[in-house]
Amino acid sequence: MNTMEMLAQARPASLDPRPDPARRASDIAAALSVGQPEPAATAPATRRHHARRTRAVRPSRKLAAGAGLTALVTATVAAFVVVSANHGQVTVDHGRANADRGQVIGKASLRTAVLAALDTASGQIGYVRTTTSANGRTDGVAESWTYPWLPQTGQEVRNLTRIHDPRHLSDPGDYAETETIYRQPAAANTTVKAEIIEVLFKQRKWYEQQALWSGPQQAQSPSYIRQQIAAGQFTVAGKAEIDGRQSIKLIIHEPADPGLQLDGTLWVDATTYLPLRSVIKSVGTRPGGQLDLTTVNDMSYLAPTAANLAKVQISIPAGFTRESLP
Amino acid sequence: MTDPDLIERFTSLYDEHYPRVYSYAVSRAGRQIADEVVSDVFLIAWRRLGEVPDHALPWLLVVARNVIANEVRAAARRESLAAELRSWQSGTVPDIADQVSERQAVLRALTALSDDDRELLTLVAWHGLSPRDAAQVLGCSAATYFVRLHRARRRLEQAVSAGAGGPGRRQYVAAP
Repeated sequence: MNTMEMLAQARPASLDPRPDPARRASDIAAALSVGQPEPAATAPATRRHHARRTRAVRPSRKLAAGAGLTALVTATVAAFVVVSANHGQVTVDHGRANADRGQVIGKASLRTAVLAALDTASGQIGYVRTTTSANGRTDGVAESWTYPWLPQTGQEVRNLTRIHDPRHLSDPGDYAETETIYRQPAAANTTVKAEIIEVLFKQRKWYEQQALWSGPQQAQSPSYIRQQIAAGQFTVAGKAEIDGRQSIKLIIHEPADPGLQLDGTLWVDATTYLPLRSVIKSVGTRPGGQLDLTTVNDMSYLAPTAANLAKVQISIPAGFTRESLP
Repeated sequence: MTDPDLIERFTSLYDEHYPRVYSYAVSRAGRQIADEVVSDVFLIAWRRLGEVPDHALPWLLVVARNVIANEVRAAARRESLAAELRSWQSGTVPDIADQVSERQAVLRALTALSDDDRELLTLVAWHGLSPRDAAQVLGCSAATYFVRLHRARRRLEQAVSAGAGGPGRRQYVAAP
């Protein structure tokens, strides 16, 4: 074997990206948010000022599309997956909640009930199924189980995320599972040490590593939802039925970039006041064109029984090859 | 071409080439800033969509190369790349011991080379480019590329040999 062949075989696994529908959606939205492509020029691609000239417009794109879109698009993707510093011992008055079925309660009462429900569910397993689509075409599916759903500072958190490769959605066997175990940091956006195991089912490989992980991000945490509710940043938009369950529809509007409108909608169960579904739409209107990205998160909650806790623990099938992941 | 067509072309471009642009960004700048580099590359690709050729990969890698070379992120790149190279040196494959040793020797030797040599070698060996495409990425003729590749291979072979000298072998240090 010559040196080049040896070099080819030594290619590190770290060069291969992991399927990440949220990043794909963010990258595409960020690019499209700058407007129409420029008219074709004859300049060769090797000219370095391409990058520099484009970077000059990047701050506004980054601030507007990044802070706005990324925050909201991902707000409930992992949404109800982690973090809340508030763990009040408030219990839900289910009797009153049931009595309220069939009518939309006032905003103040709804705020109190949802906050209480969120805290009550803090020790359960949160399950989120996320579907992303661009211009009406589904391009990403992910499922996530997190226990506990709203951990306290220092508490061990387990998350198992199953991501279907957006490029091969028609192949049900092409997916990856990642189990991440970490201790809940005191603040959001804090790097934490995590144990990570990833299984690539199509490739029949698995990796294990201890790594610094960016941790639960503020915009991706249930605390974001909690903050929105606590701050009253929502509008009660009536009743709706979600998968046969009565729910209350809440709407959040957040302008992002000129030409880009973000609409966040949250449905909470009319009986338990727990979030059932969120839909985040980013719609861009541009000369002659329309961008339409949608993220749908369907949520449910599981009691932490032994059988359910097994869903948060990754299982490596026999015969899979362990590989390095530097 | 209408705008939905442009969006369709762009998303197809992204889906087809994202993995290889990401790989190139990791190998040249490290994982810490690779995502940012890739985002910038496709932002530029969208703005310049009319210039992107059908055979887009070399064009995209040229853009990635230029983005990485941007002085604004030079310090971040040095730090990120150094971490990446260290990870290559420390990585192991749970396989036959000789293969592990051989792989590690090559990776250690590679990290001891210059940035330019490393790029020359990995464009073909890791990123799957043809010599002609690799030459386009580097902005030189195919003939020049072959000459430079030959020299880089010799330096890699020398570094591997120097590193295979047993317990007292040379300790390679990741080039920043």
